[in-house]
Amino acid sequence: MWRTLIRYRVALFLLFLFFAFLLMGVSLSIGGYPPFEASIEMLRRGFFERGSLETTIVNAVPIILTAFAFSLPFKGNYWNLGGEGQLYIGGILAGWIGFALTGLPNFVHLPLLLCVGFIGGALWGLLPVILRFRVGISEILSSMILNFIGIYIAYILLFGPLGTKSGMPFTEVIASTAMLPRLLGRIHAGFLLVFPIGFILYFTVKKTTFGYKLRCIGLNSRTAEAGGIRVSRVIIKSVLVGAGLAGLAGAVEVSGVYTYMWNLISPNLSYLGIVVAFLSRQNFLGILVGGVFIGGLLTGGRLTRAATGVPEEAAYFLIGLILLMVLIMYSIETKAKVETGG
Amino acid sequence: MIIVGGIVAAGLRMAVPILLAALGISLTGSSGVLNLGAEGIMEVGAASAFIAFTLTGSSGSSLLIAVFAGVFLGLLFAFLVIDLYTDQVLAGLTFWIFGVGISSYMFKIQKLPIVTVKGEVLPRLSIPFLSQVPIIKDILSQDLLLYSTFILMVIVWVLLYKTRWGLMIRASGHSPAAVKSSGGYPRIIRYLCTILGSAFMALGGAYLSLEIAKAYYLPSPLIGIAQLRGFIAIVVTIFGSWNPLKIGAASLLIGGVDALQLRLQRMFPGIPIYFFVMLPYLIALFSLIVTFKKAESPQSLGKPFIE
Repeated sequence: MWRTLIRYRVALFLLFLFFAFLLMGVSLSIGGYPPFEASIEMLRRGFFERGSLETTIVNAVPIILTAFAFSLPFKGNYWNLGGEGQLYIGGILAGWIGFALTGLPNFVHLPLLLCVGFIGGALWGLLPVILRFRVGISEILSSMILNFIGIYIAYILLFGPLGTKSGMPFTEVIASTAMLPRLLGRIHAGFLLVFPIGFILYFTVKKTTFGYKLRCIGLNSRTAEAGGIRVSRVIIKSVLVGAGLAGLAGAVEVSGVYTYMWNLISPNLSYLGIVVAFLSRQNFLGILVGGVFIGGLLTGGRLTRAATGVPEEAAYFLIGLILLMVLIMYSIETKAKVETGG
Repeated sequence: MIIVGGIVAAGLRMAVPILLAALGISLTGSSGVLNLGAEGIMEVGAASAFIAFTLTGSSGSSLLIAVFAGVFLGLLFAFLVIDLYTDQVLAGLTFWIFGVGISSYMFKIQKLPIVTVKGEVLPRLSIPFLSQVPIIKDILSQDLLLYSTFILMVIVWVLLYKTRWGLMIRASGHSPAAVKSSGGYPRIIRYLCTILGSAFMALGGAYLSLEIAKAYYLPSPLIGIAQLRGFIAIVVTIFGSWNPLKIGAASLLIGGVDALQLRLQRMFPGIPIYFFVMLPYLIALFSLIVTFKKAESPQSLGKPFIE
């Protein structure tokens, strides 16, 4: 029975998705909202309208980057849940480089800002990995806690030395030489960055020695160690790149979307990145699609509130249900593997 | 001295949700199931209790609703990880995001006004005579759930370490195959512990919304009112080496720091407040670094039992 279920996995997922919308519709009608209009409005505004499609893509960029940040170390079975802290540390450093330096030419300033964001995120991501290999602490817990510490450090800096004099948690607007150019409407050049990164990661994991080592560790780290792979070194490299990408997400938000760093730069985007990573099974090309899908649900949810009064939490409800369904799909697969002795 | 009494009283209150969740995690974990979904289950408990309270106005029924929600989520979690062998970390993280998503949504579509409840929600109990003494006055006139939590802590400790059942539970956490071959039912034990533990977590969430915040709100999307206390509870459990009494001490430490930082914020207006807000997390991280290796975790923790 379980094997048959796997064979129809795509159909099963679509059925699940339909069921999620149905559940949302039922609960909306109990709450006294128009269920059909709300669901259709959400999809239409998220994916099928030019103006809001731009917002969807802008929303998708940091989600995709943080999904990369989770997925690359996860190939080696390392859970990088610290994307939020890495994003904030990357963002605050990028914001500082953005407004503190002036008079640099564009082709120096912008790459510098993005690099600094990347390095900031990578350094913050280094802490839990050091704790894991030096002290033996599970990275799941330490990176979760370091998220909050990182965010509060950014807050302290925003309310203190890096904020404006008004006492509001904003930095000054970054120099125009550090801004990502707009391509089309609200879409900024950061969107173009996402594709090459996705392809590079895809080929690194599939075709290079490093990717092979990483996948070996993911299958069984003891066997990999016995086979001569230096587990800690490979994992640290993958975390540096992954965490750096989360930091880059912060820098891209600062430079492409807001043009300043502020306290609410990320409404927990990195956790949505983790959702996307599981939705696309850590496939770097699938993440590009999954990120746009989740970004669209968010945009749709936000705009539906304005049109029909349905709370925007509906999008989070749907995302939670979708994740639960993905989990059930994973479970069915594990069950089938165990039953057939594979 | 009066201030000290106030801080201790507040520390006790802040410790309760963490302690309840940590007791749930230690009970679940002792039987071999790692429930990282504590955060989400707490959130559902907080939201369902507060919705029930605004609709019925009765604290007893709202706690009951929270417990029911916890039991239901525990049953689902147990089915996924015990019968379908799902990866327990992934299941836990899913429950977290699912829990926060569903609770915020369910709260919003009720169209309830976001207000703080005035007055007492949970019934109070002042210990006779002792609650007249000035310094410990605040400490000894708390709500009933607070006292029950500390009694529950002792009960769970007795259950786990002093009874035959507890031996079975801990045995199925260490070696379920041995329990099976000696005629026990490790699956059923794990089911019961996961469900009961999940009810504790939901109760902890209910205390958070009904007593500490006296409101339900979302600080930011996907971070609910629990504000990562579910994950801190896991840290506390490891800190306390899975032993309920030590866990109690560890939660009091974190709760105390949480209560103290609110006072310190007012005492030192020159220092940025987020430095103080950060303190409980720093303490949690530090305690994790100090105790992670020494903690005696169940040997089969997080591993499915495949017959």
